[in-house]
Formats: sequence, structure tokens, C-alpha cells
Amino acid sequence: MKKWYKLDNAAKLFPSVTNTKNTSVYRISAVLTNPVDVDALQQAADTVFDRFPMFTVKLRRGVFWNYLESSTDKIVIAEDQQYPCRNIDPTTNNGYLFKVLYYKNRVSVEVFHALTDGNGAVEFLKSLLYYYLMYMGHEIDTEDRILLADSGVDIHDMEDAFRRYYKDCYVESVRNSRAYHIKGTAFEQFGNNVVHGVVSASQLNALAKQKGSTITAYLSALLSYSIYQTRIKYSKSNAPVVIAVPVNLRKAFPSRTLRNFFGVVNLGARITEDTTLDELIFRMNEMLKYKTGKENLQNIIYNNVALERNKATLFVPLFLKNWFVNLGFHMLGESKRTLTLSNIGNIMLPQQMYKHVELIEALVYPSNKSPMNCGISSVNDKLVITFTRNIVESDILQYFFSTLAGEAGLEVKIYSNDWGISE
Amino acid sequence: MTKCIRCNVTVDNQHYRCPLCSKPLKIRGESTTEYPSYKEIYQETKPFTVAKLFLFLTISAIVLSITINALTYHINPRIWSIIVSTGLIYAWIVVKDTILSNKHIGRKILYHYVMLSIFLLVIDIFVGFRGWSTNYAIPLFGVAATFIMTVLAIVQKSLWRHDIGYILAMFFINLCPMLLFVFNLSHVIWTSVFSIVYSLLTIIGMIIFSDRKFISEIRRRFHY
Ligand SMILES: [Zn+2]
Repeated sequence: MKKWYKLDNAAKLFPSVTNTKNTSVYRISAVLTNPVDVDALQQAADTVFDRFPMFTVKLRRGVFWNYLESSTDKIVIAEDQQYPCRNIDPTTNNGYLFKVLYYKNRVSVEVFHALTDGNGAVEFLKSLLYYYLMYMGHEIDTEDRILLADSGVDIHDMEDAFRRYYKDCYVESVRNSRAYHIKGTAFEQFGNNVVHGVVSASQLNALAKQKGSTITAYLSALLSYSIYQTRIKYSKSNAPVVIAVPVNLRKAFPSRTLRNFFGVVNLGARITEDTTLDELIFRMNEMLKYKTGKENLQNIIYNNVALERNKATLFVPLFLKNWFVNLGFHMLGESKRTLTLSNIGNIMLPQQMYKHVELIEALVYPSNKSPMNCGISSVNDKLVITFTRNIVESDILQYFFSTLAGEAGLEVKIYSNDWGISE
Repeated sequence: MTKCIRCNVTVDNQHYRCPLCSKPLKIRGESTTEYPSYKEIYQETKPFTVAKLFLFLTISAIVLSITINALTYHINPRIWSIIVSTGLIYAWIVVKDTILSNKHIGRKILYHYVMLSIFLLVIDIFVGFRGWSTNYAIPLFGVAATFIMTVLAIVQKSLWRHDIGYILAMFFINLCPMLLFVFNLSHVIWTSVFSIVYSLLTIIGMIIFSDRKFISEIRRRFHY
């Protein structure tokens, strides 16, 4: 009999709001120092199969909820040909909601968000790379940093940590106004353009420290400032720029789950002619510090779970739930944020793996209302800032990277997939 | 590595142009971070597909029938084009959702049942509602759809995995003719009763001939 799993609390949202233009598919890639060997990668995928039963599932529709059904079909790796973060067609790919892709030196995992968050995907990618390098004949001491295939499935991998840390508490609700929205021209053919900027992680960290801030707050401020300078300044809008920052809840609420366990905090600012970048960095940092405090994160968990625990929602048929969730997502989520900036942080690998991995990239899917999103990740002191967008205009990122290189004095290396750019 | 002076950044060798400002750059070479070329995908999107052709033909036929109907209304004062249009829409669904799609067979049967019911109801209403659709056609088609689905599920031995949801859905749909009766849209009681009894027997049969799979399937569909 096939095993099945309930969707975790965060995952319930994604099947309802997903369409070809809001795919809920993110990508995490590793650029290796050598070109990828296809056979070794397929072997590695076969090996990690049993260790990640949460990934090898198909999405099924129930009457009141969707659920995930386990499957024994192989993970089939494929050459990367499509633009990143494209919607995953469940009638292809053995019905799996994630893909393992390769092209030249790059190994990518694309994941439908209902399966897991960035943390879970990184664990999967790390295990995959570990076995890949083993099959390529490299000896690596895992240093306890890799989930091994023969270690058996840990019951804690499966937990819906939202439910474990749910606590009935008093929550203040604040009515926020609509955020500023970036507009632009769609590409002639729908798809996503990615631009990566590589900087030194330690230099950027020193720079942020010098302003009394963290990397996430520093980059959020610089990004807001870039949006103001290139867009809002010349428009009549006085809407605030709101950067949505997903927070890994495992740090404040210890859990080893490989499923979704994240919350989103909004960093917003109404920027005017007089606002300086330093001032903005200070404000964003204070806001991030406050909002990622344990009490505030507890509120996020409460808000997420409370509705689901409401007995009435148990008996609302799925199609109605989809409709309400969609409405709420657009009214409360999408319209209150300008863009998402997701920092998956510094990826810790076993020492011997570092020399094989050049870069780790994090790609956050754009949507209709936020046509451009940002993902940050670092390994080996190389920090990659990635913009994924479905609009032609590159003014904001040009301002962003130029300022980072110019005023901040960092060396910035740029590369892109050139989607929608002729020639 | 080339410096883009306008943007103040270094641009990787894989690019002819700066990805930020499109300024042409001189050097181009290999790079570890290269992405596939999307040229083929750009060309792949065809303006002409069979599905689009059928859509166009269907719309043309509907527009034509409405036009002819309007022009000849003084000779034949009936709005027959509505019947023709619904028929054409139904035909289009047959092509798109049945022939050209690889959707689950249970879903196809369900769609057809719903569309056919609407089609017959429209015809019935426009030839001066005599109630043959609500009295006989809709309840009896429901029984037929449930029957086909049950037989398919048993033959393909897929009852407990894929078809159960559709059979449950048909069960609830077969309760609807009773509503037609309550709201006075139907005057023949035996068809409604027949459809309810039939679907009840189907469910009872499923329970009696089921094993543990049935219980587990019900639990995962309803979660509790
Ligand atoms: Zn440039």
C-alpha cells in the first residue's frame, strides 16, 4: 500500500496559487569546477532516493485537502534546456514535483515549494553532490555535514514543525497599505531571465558590519534604495517599498525537518528625496532584528496554523479552499510586498568538497505582481546575488550592482542566462 | 573577464553584451557558469496547432449560425442558433478534452456527463420546456456514467487508487436529480429514485467488496 503524507502547513498554500506565471518553483544550483558527468550524477540520484522519501512523492487531490503520495519511480536527471523556475508539469518527470538538471558545470535542483523550503533543497543538493563526487572517485570525509543514504530515514525529517511549535497566543494584526509594485515590459516569449552577481562574502560582511548591519539587511536596504532611485523618484507614487524576507524558522525553533519550515517578514520603508542609504540600512537592520525576534516568529507560526486548526476549515471542500487561499494570497501577501529577497546563507560543506564546488546559486521564481525577485547564497567566500525576472527592464539591477561596485567598492562579477536578450 | 565601464562591474566571458546595460563587449569565451542557449525554445512555440484550428473552426461556425439565424429570423422565428452553438461547444470539448487530452478517463466521463446535461437542458428549454431532459435524460445519463466508471475501474483494477474519487463524485451528482424534483423541474419520480438507489448500491458494493485499501483511500481523501 502506498504511503501518503499530509502537506505541511506552509505547503498547503502553493498548490492553490500556482499557475504558469506564478510557478512556486525555485532553483538551487551548484557550479562545479569540472563539467558534470551524467552517469555519475544519475547514479548519485539513484543512491539518495531512499534517504529523501519526502521528495519522491506525487501530489494528489483529496476532497478537503491535497496530499502527497509516495512513489517508487526513479528520479530521472535531465539536461537543462528550459528557462529556470518554469512550472513543473506533473504529467511529465514521473509525476515528481522536483527536477535534477545538469548543464556543463552546473547541477540544479528545481523544487515545487509544496515539497520543502530552501533548507530542505540544500540538504538534498548536498547529499546529491556528495555521492556524485564519490562516484567520480573522490574521497570525502562527511564531517557530519551530509545526510547519508544508508543512515536510514529519520522520523524528524518528516515533522510538520509548524504544528510542533504552534502555541495559542495573542497576536496583533496591523493593517498595512499596498506596497510599491515594479512594472515592466514582458519578454516577447514568456520566461525568466537570471542575472547573477558574485562578490566576496567576507568583504561584503565587513562592509555591512561597518554600517552596523547584517548582509541581509544591508542588501535589502540597497535594493529598496535602487528601486527608489530608478523608479519611484520619477513617479507620483508614494507607496512604500516592501522587501519580503523568508526566515528559516529552524534557527529559533530547533527542528531537523526536511519539509517547509519558514516564515516571511516584511521590511518596508517609505523612501523620500531626503532618505540616505546609511539611514535606510540602519532602519532595515533594526526592523529585521525586531521581526526575527523569537516572539514575533512565534506569532508568524500562530498566524499560519491558527486558520488551519479552525475546525470549520476542515469541512470546506478543496475547490472552495483554493479560491479563498488564492484571494488571501493576492490581497494579503502579494499586494503588500514589492519583491522577495531570500538569503539561504553560507552553505557548509565537508572540507574536501569545497575545492569541487565553485558557486551555489539560489533562484527565486518571479510572479505577476513581483516580476523580479532576489536570491542570495554563498559558499567558499563567494556570495552570489541572483535576480530572476520576467520583465525586460534591467534598470534596478544595474543601479544595484553599480552601487555595490562603485560606492561600496566591491568587485562584482556578472553573468546571466540572457533569456529574452536577442543574439 | 571584461570590465563594463558603464556599470562598473566585471562581466563573465560567456557574454557578448553586458547583461545589465547591453553594451557590446569585445572578448567572448568559455565559462563554467554558462547557461544553455534558448534559441530552439524560442522557435518551438508554434502559432498553428490542431487545438487552435478546432477552436477557430468552432468559433466561426457559431458566429455563422448566429448570423444566419438573425438574417432568416423573419422566415423562421426561432432562436435555433443557441442549440447549434451549445452543440458546437460540446463538440469542441469532445475534441479538446477527450481526443487531444491525456486526462484521467474518470475525469473525462465526469466532464462529458456535466456538459451533456447542460446541452440537453438547453435544447429542452428552447424547444419549449417539456421536461424530458430533467425527467429522464439527466438522471439516466448519471446512472450510465457511474456504470461506465465502475466497469472501467473494475476492468483496469484501478478502483482503489485513481477512480474512487470520481465514483464518489458521481455518487454525489446522482443525488442531484432529487433536487430537480424538489424544485419542481422534474415530474417523474422513478428516474430520480432509480439514480439515487443505483449510486447507493454502487457505494455499498464498494464497501462490501473492499479491503483495507478502501478505508485508507477514504482517509487520505478526507484526511480524517
Ligand atoms: Zn554594463
